[in-house]
Amino acid sequence: MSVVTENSPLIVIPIYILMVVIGIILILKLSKDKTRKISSLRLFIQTAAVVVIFMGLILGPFNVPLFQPLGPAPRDRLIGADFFGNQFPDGISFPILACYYPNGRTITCPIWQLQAYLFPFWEHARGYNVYYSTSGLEKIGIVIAMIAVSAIILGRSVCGWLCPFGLYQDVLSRIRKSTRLRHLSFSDKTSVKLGQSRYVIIAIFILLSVIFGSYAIFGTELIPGTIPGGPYGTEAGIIGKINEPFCLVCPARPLCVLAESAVGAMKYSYISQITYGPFWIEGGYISSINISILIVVSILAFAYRRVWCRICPLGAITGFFSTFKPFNRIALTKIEKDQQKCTKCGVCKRVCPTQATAMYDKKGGDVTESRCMLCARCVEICPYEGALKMTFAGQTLAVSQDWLQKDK
Amino acid sequence: MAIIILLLGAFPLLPSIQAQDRTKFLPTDNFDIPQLDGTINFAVNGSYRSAVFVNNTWIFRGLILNNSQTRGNLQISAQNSKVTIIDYYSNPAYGRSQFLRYTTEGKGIQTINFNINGTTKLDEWMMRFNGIDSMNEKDKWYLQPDDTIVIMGQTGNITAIHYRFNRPDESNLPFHMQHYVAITITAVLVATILVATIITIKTRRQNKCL
Repeated sequence: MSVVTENSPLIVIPIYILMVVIGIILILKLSKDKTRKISSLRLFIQTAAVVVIFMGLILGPFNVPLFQPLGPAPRDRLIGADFFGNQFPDGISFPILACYYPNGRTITCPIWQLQAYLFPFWEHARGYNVYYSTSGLEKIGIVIAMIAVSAIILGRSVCGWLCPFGLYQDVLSRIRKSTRLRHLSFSDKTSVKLGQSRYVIIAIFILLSVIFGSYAIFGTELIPGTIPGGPYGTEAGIIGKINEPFCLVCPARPLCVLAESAVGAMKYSYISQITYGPFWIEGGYISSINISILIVVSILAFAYRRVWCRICPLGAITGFFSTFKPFNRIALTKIEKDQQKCTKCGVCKRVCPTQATAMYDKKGGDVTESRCMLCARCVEICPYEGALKMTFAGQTLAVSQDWLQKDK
Repeated sequence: MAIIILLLGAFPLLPSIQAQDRTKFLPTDNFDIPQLDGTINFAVNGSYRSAVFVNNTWIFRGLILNNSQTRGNLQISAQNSKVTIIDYYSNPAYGRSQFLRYTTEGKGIQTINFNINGTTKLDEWMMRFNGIDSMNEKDKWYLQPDDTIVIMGQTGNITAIHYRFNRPDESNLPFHMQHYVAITITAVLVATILVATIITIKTRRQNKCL
């Protein structure tokens, strides 16, 4: 057992906030290209968020030390972190694809939570070496409430501005751009269908978790061998393989493990274990299926912008709580359009990374739709003064400018 | 001031507060249990404050393995088996857990007690037999009312783990304390909806005025 020195959050966090604020001010002051200013700012904030998520600048008593390649994997120490005590030891449910496993339990992927609390942690006192004093239903209620709060306040801007997997796709798009290759686009019909498929995907995985957890939930074992045998959910056999089915296919998981390993916050062996054994074998936390899907998504993301975001079930949940009735009426972060200033040039539609069309199709007012991740690229590129704007709580954050005229 | 410095300097020399004598042991030292045909030894060097043999059980107080920090008190017995203790430690961060790792030869019975304050519950315990987790398998191990774990018929590498020791018992707390996270997040959600609604109404009014 080696001694681990933890950075004091009281020192690290204020310094980090100061650095981020200075960075934002510098970008806003120094960036001269009006068509790239918001994109540059977004890239900076996305990067800053990755540092927060993967390098341990997290609140709580179990904050991961920065750059500690030789110590014990902090993930091991994070098990059972008591951010909310026994009632909710998994930390804040925040709807970004930052895997539960590496980042500890201060911020946790809600998809994992929703699945795990159905199976195998429906009953209280069951957990991976963690004691829950609350029932599955209560925990699921907490997760949904946390997502709803985040979605009402931030909407899908968490996808556009904070999600690490979104940054990964953006980086791939930037690499493609640097090679002067033009991106590909789906047809409008396919794009809509992909957007709808997100809800089917989340429904399938939740249903699977309900079926697997049927013994605990309904008292009927629908799949043989799914009766949890002990309190810690670490059973071998089929139960160990089908826990949280979405996580077995999630492409973000290997990336998260890689990011954590890169800063010494996790062991590389968690990745290397899958380099041997049959195709489906699980190595630590990631499986060959994860890796395969990551490769496919990476290739597609090189050609299509934000391809995963179009089918991301996490984005679907956030979109549900921010763009569907009645939540859309009170959502605080929005894209708004002034119909009188719009000339229907269509540039907003062309630049949208997720091929959202509401800002073009709708007549005016709130044009945020469930596919829109509030990246504000449309606002940035729109050449008509005040035609599009991004607002938060009624206050304008960014507004389209007549950059064509001024550049002349 | 000089007296204080002198006293501080002499502090470790005072016989009454010197560390208690410790008995060192080597991996070759055996702790036999003749009546049960059992033997206990350690895989590493170490020391203890006292080792008492009572009712066919060895009680090691202030156990230190491999010159590391004290590992607390351990009570262990072996019947028809030879037990070699590899490690015994607590990890407050890892699920507030306490581990005992040992190997055993002979399909006998081992009893262990970590001497944890307060009564433990069955769901706080887990065994690992040759790398395979075992939870509540009564044919392999069970918990006695006095917090002693009895392990039967296992050979090879064995790890006994107790999680969440000193876990607060929430069952006696009032309802709002037992569910404070759910209540708090519900209140936050309601407040968010209220504030968002007020902001939305205000913004619409402002827009209409414009």
